[in-house]
Amino acid sequence: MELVLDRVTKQYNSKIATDRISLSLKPGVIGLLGANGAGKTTLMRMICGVIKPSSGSISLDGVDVSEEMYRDALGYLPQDFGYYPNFTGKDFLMYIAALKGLSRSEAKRKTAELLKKVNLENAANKKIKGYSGGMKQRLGIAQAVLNDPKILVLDEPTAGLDPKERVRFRNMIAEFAKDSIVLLSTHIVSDVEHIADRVLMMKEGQIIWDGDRNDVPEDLENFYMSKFEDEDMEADDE
Amino acid sequence: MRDEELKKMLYDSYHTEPSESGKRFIRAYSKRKLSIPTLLLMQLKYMWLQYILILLFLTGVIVYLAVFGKPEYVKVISSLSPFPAIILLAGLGRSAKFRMEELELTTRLSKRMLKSIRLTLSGTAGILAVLIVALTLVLTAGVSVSNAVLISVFPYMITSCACMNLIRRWHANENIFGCIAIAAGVSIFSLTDCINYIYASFHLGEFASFALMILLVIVLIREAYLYVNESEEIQWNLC
Repeated sequence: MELVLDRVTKQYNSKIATDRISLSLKPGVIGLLGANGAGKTTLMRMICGVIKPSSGSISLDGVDVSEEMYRDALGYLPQDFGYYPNFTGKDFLMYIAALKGLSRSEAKRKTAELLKKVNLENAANKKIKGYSGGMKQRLGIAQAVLNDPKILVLDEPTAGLDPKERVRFRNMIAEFAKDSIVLLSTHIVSDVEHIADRVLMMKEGQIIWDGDRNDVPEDLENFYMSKFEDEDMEADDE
Repeated sequence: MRDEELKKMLYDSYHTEPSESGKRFIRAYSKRKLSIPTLLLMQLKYMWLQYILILLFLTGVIVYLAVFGKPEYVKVISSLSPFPAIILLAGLGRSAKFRMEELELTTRLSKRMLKSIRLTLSGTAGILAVLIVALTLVLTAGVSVSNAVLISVFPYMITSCACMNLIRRWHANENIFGCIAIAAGVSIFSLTDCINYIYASFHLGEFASFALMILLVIVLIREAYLYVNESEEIQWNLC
């Protein structure tokens, strides 16, 4: 299984959000690091088919991002998402399951299973508006994996989670990544350090480093900071 | 073959886990094909109940006026006819309003499909409502068919066309206020009996009503087509 991005570019008027990004992603956890405004979210939205690239292509085993088969294999947790008022946690998952094409019986089974997995079974019938930030995030992760996705895209998934929940989340992701491509974007280096097999670093719409976690010669955070300093110094020299 | 070997083979054939490719096949096969009727029913179930109730209430008020009201209430009926369009158009923007759009776009449905389904449901509800009003006017108030269409269907369709054009050009949650302004304008136009004045001034008859109806249907279909097929970009991506 391989997710291929071929010279993917997104341009808004004079601003280039992503600049000719070419990647080949295989099953495992891929950490995408970058500061705010680096283009991580834009890249993830293009991988999820939410926005169209200005040029370039994205495909999974030859299936283009625009096709239903691709979306069928996709799970996405946006950086910020809402919910219809009066939805309980269970209603929310059942709604997303219906849109993902799960039968009613399968949706019920998966909903119950995932609510237990993310430790929300006691809050399943409570309205989402009463959930804490961490509970909402866990619900978001649950909806992303309803359809056992081959590609799981998580945009800043640990935002709002306390340290204990963050560890629980990492364990969940490590389990999902056995058979899937998990792309995890964050600006918190420790999230990537513990679970990523491969690390991508992004700045100003470009990938500035791409390698295995084991290839990082030192502490990942120091390496990450040094890469950005190197880039800044090169820019100053120019 | 020894008994132990045979026993083991029999045991394995009954207790072996399905292969990975077998599991994938079963998982893929067990997913339902998302047919149009399935999608319509699914979205109907999750439709905006409040909007439907408001639409029913408004239709009820208009029908009551048509049945029990005095003849001069016809102008009031006409002035209320644009508002079912607003109620249903407000429902179309629900997923953007509650920030569910991004999640909905990453399911099996494309944005085009989702919009088509919602437009079909809301359009059908709106057209049914105004047709009920027109039918009531014909049956109980003795109004001719062409006049009934002029009173109830035209204001609704004019409002729908103008509002859909506005929504397509103005990507913001505030566009609903623009739609309300359009509906208010059409409502005042109806209340002041301008349309009858125009008809009388230009000696327009039933043929003119028919031609105008055809024109509005064409414009509405065009607006619906453009609405469904507009850019995949969500409004916050547009600079």
